[in-house]
Amino acid sequence: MDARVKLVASLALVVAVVTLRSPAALALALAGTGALLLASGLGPGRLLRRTLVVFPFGGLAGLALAFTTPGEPVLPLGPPAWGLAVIGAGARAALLVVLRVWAAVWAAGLFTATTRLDEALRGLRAIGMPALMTTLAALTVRYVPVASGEFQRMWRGRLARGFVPRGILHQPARSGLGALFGMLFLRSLDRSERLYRAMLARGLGHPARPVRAGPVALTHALAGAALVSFALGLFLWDRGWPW
Amino acid sequence: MVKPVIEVDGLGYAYPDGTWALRGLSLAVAAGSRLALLGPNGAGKSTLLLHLNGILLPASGRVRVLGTGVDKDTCLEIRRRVGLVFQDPDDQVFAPTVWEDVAFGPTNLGLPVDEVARRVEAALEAVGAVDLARRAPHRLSVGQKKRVAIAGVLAMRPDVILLDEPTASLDHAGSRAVLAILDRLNRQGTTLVMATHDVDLAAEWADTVAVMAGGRLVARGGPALLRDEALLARAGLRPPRVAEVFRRARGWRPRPCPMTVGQAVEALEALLAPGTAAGWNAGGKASE
Repeated sequence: MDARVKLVASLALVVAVVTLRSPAALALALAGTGALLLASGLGPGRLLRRTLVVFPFGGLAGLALAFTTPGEPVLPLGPPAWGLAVIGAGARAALLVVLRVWAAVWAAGLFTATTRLDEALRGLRAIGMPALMTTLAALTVRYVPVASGEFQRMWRGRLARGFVPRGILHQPARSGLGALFGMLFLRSLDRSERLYRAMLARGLGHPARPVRAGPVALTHALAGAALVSFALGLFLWDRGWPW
Repeated sequence: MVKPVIEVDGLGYAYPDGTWALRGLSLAVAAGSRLALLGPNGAGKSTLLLHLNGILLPASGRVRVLGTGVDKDTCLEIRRRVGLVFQDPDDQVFAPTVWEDVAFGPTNLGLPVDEVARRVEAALEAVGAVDLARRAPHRLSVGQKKRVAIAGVLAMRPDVILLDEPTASLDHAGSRAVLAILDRLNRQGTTLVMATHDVDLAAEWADTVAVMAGGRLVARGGPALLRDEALLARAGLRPPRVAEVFRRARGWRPRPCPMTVGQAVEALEALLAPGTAAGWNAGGKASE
């Protein structure tokens, strides 16, 4: 599907799911986005790994809510002197937070997990993201492996000359690591200078005509409209409309 | 001499730390030629290439490329007409996909979308990288990245292409592929200037050789220059390997040493052909 359509549909779904109030609507959102992700070729393993990122964030927030929301305690924990208990209303709020984050991650995954980087950047540019931001994102993705390769080579260079790392508490290891990061920074600075020159050499600075993206295919537009309708339907059902 | 496309006259340039990289260098490059800019590390080869592309501007002296003086008003136009392939393709190939990277130059020229697409496809075709179009550059081998870097320059349809150590870090197959592309471009009329310290490559590839040392031009001429051991030693270079073999064979003197594998094969075939008496004996005395 066209990245622009996916981006808009995915955004609509994210906005819709974070406003849902009923677990049933959130469960439906999860079922729908999960089915779409599986249908798009994302295997159950990758889907599960994406889901795991929910818990450090949503889980912690939910945990705090479960104990701090005002209401009746339903499950005391530890000795009574601690005064620690799960609150009924807090447990419901925690469940909603976790489900919302989960559904939002899956809804965003409809775009991020199924779109190549270049298409994603084009999509972002098409909906108005400044070129500077998309270029920075592209350069980061492109040069992280290059910087990581340089770091590995320098690290191996140390190992090859008898350096034995003994954990982060080991002073020579700490200072060596600091020196490596410093060197990596300087090399990256040099590389950025060379990259800029290479861009100049290919005409950076000419008043270029912006490349216009082609039209969205009708089938893609219809599929996108269906996804936006699903998001809207979820929202209306959650609010009890039209019944 | 054919009309020069590049004229450098008394070019001087110092880096911001005060190091003089070029000291009054003068050089002319004929249209359609394959010039090897030979010199050791630090001779100023890369700095000279940056001047020929208009990225650096002369601190003293002047540079004319395709009849246009290089200055701050003309440097953008010069960059359109003179392509520069950098030594490390990771410094040049930066976009998320090969296709987008090759399209970078033509897009900067403000060409219509269709024309950009046509140029990208033609450039990828020319370097045999059509199948890489949708690949991410960081997933490519060094040889593939080098070919993509050349395609990025070809897509701008330059009259002159400058190459900084184009075969550095390439394996034999990668080097051969790059040199084949350069041969084809040169046959189509593109002037090529290659900075290298590889004397064997210069002997095999170039029709003109310019030897640099310490930011100055030491000599310029045909590949026969590479037989001048004193000149090469002055520039911190060695003679071509093939020439070294024949130079050490005492019986070969005073004939000019072959410098390329092809010349060596011809010489040896002439030497060993039945009925000829061109060989030399083990004592170093040439047969009559």
